[in-house]
Amino acid sequence: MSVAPHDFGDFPRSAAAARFEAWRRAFYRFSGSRLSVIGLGICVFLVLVAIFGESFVPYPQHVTGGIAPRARFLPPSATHWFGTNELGQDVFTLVVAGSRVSLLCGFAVVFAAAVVGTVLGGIAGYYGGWTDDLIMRLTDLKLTIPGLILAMAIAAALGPGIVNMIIAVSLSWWPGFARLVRGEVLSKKEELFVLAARALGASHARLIWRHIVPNVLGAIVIKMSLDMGFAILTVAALGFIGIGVKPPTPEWGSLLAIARGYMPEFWWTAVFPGLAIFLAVFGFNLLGDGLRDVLDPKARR
Amino acid sequence: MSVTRRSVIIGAGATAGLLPLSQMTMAQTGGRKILIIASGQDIPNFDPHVATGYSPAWLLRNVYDSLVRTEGNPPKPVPGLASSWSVSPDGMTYTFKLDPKAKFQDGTPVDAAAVKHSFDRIMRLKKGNGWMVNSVIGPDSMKVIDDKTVSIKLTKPFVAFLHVLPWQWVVNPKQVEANKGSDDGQAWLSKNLAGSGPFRVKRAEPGNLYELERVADAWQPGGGNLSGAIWQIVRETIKQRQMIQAGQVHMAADLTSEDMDALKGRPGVNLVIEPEFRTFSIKMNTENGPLADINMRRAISYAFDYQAMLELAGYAQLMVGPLPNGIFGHDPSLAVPRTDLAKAKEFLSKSKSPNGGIKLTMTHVTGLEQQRRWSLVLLDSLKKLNIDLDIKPMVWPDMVALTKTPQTAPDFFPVYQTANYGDPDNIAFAAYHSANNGNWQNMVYKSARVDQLIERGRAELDEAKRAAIYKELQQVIVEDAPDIFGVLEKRKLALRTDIENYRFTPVASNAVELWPLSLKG
Amino acid sequence: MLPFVIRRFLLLIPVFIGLSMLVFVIGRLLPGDPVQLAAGPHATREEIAALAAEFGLDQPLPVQYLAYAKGLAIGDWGRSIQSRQPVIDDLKTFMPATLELVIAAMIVAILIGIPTGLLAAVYRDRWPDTLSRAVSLGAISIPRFFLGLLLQLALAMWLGLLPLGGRLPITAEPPPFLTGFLLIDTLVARDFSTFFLALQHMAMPAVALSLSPLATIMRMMRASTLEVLSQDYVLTARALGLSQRLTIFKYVLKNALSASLTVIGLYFGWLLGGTVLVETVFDWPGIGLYATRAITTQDFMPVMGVTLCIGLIFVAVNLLVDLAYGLVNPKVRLS
Repeated sequence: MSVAPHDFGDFPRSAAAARFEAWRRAFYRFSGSRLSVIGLGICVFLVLVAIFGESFVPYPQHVTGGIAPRARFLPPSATHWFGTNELGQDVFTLVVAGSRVSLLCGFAVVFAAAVVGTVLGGIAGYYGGWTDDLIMRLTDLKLTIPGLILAMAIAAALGPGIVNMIIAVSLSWWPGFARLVRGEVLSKKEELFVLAARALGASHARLIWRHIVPNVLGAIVIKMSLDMGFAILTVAALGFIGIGVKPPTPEWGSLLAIARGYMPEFWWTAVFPGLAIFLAVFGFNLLGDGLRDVLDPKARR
Repeated sequence: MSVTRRSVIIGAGATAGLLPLSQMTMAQTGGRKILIIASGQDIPNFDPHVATGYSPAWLLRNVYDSLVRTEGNPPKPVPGLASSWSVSPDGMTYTFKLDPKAKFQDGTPVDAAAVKHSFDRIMRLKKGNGWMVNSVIGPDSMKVIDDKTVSIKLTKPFVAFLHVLPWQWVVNPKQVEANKGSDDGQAWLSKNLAGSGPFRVKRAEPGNLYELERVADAWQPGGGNLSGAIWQIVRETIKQRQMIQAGQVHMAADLTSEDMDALKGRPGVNLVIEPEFRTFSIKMNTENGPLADINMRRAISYAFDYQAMLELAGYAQLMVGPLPNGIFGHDPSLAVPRTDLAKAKEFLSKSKSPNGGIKLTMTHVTGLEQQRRWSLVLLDSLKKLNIDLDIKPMVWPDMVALTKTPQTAPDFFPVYQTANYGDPDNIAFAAYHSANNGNWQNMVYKSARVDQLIERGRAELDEAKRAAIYKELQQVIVEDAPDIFGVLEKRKLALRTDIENYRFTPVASNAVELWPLSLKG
Repeated sequence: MLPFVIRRFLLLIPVFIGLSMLVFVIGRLLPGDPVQLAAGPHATREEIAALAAEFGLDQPLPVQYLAYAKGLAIGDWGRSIQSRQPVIDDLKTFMPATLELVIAAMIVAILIGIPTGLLAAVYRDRWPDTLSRAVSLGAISIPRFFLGLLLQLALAMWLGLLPLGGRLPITAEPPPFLTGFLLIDTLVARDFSTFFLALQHMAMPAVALSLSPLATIMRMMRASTLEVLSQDYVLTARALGLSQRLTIFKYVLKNALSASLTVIGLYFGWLLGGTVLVETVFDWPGIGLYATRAITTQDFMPVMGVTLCIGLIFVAVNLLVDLAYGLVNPKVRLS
């Protein structure tokens, strides 16, 4: 870690102020990148839609499974912006309502994976020895097996449902976090401030909690934001294969899977849910990429 | 230099990029007449006494022979291995004269002993289509009268007996005995064939295709010009549609109503949209849970949105009562529940949950689009009674496992019931007789009165009396409301116009008999 | 070099054992009753028990695992309960299709990714760079199954230029089996019309599958080229009179090679698993479709077989990539 000379200029200065200054500079760098800002915009928009969208949809009864067989397969129009599907449901309503499931699942997956990965990776990195070997070999093995097939098998085992889907995907997700955290812990463990604290007689718990966790957190947050897009993608993929949520919950992947049978005449039933997945994944990837650029010293050039 | 087939293809390849794909692929069949059928169903087992489902039925019908076949609309028994037969006046003994030309594909003549051998095996295994005959024949039923004459003595009267015989195939005893193993030849017959039919399996690629080729010296009289046929597995109906449109296949077996609409008026495609004895209804758990309450069942029967179901079904008609419309004995004037919310609420108020507020479960087969749609119709209808529906898509075997007891059975269980024979007994017995409790056809419903009427119906020889019995049966079942009587979907097939001699028959029409068919050109 | 190779090979043994155990656990996770499933809806209790005994499913789990591991060692990967075929035979049938598709996707990714990445580096922070970043992020963000559907919609359904799916038309005679790769086998058989058909069928799935590695290779190429351009030795070389173009070309070529190697190692296993979706959309008869079908019918032996097979290929490819690195860059051998 290099320290810029001017940091000594306004010494003494509170740690909080220093942290604020660092964030302020990061923000400038972030807002300097047009793509990152667009990504942030998309994500904020999607989160707002996920939280409030359902209250403003034109056909709220369709969210909970209401149907209108006489209005089947209407093309996009002023009354049905995205057209209607094979049950006469308004596709716009379903896509808006589906944002909640997708974002919620995406976040839950990444969060659960981060928690499990951090605990296991932290233990491995901090204690070393055979615990490290055991956990890391398990991680390596998991990384050789395609995550999607693993997630599919687990999801099929647990049966459809939002919670089951989250469990299935996060179980195939944690090894990445475990590796990352272990690496970070290993490097931080040997740094001067930790060695000093240990010499002063700090307990393991205190060392981990006070000195190592805050320093690893940045890397975890970056990975979480980078992974969010892919988590949404994986959840949609499970829905697409047909082992996702329970009907009538609107979910983008399963909407797409059903609509597949109605192409090409009724293309709107497929195209709009697909675009929604793309938008969400794209937005979070832009954001994650931008965050990594400003927060991760290693990625900075 | 002789012009080989390959060099012709290479020559054609130069211009291949400019030709539409369809013409290219059709050209490659060359002089051989190979009929290609696109279907979503695999053929997992070739054993004629074990396999069920329409895809194995297709293969078995063409590779094996049965005593009688079924043909026409309405379907009638016609000669198969038996060139003629007679029935004793009491309707209990059937005597079959075997065709003297009939021989298995290995050259062995088909004799009475072979027929007995197969029926004995059907009775031993109790699998596949055996359920159709096992309740009416016993160990002493089969009698070899002479080399070419066999008689079957029923243990109970059963007027539709000739209608179930097309699904009881005769295997070559010599081959089966040689490969008997410890499981009565099941492992061997699941992959090998021992038939007398006009076709044999040339190529089997599970999950992809099955190719049949014509037996050079087939004994069957007549026959079209086909040299073979391919059962191509195409899981998406949209792709089946594209292939029939492009002429890559000659027949598409599982099209949706939307596909049929899209194919209308396309050159080279004939559409077959015909009523068939195939019912779809939603069975209710009459023995356990909230639906054991007859008032609740009636409330739901009146709350259900039949019109929505019909609209979503496409080419279909609503069922009138438990039996398929148009079958012998069906009563078109039967009073059945139709959507009437006031009546539904009236019944609900008499039930144990007068204000709804309960949650019921329904399973349906994962990936079956029509069942998914109808589950949502039910969900939407139940909301009006303030009842929640938990929809669980499952694979079929798991669903079947649930039907073993009333306790494991879900509240609603959707069932397609295909008539294997054109007689009311088929559906009445399978779907409402308590002998079938614990099976998917009739998981829990039992009524002594219904059982008795069904048994009288299958034993009665006088047509007028028989019709009266079925009329009463239908009234009793509707009164009990064990099912939401749904729709009869029309059979939807698309055929290329170059198929000749195709005749629709409303039983197992997607398991097409190849022998009479020809391809033009 | 030799000790390095031997050590790497010895390390594979525990990986194999661990992988087989993990795969066994995954296989046993699958729900439902596979025996009930295979026995069919009309089976009696006795028949189910007999079938369970036939497949050894009535034994305790560790015994079942040992039997499985023993089978693996002698090439018996169990049988599919559904098709009653040996899993190893099914894998032999379906694997070449998937490998061919993955390799085609890799080639597309490398052919497009390297020049565009290079371009982005040369025009750093100008519009080609921004465009390439947006495109590469777009490429990894678009769901492969959605892109597949869009391609089908446009090129197959509306324009009718390419077939909807499959490897060959039903009636086309496949070339004699040699490698299982249609593109190679047809060329060997000098059957150019079938080669052309196979190529048509492969176009859309290969493009749909290539996007993620394409984006990665593009970004890597950009980063490593930027590094080369700022290195002292480039400046030195230039000062010594080598023409700039030649210098850049030489180092860039080396970078391109190592970027390709890395991506192959990184993505090969991932793509093998990722083909599931593309194979589903394009009805491509590979192991992805095979695994999906096995999972939805709860047929666990094929699921285990596919997972193990992909795991082994992943490990093998990474070993090869490491060895190739060792050749390209001797320093790596030490670590």
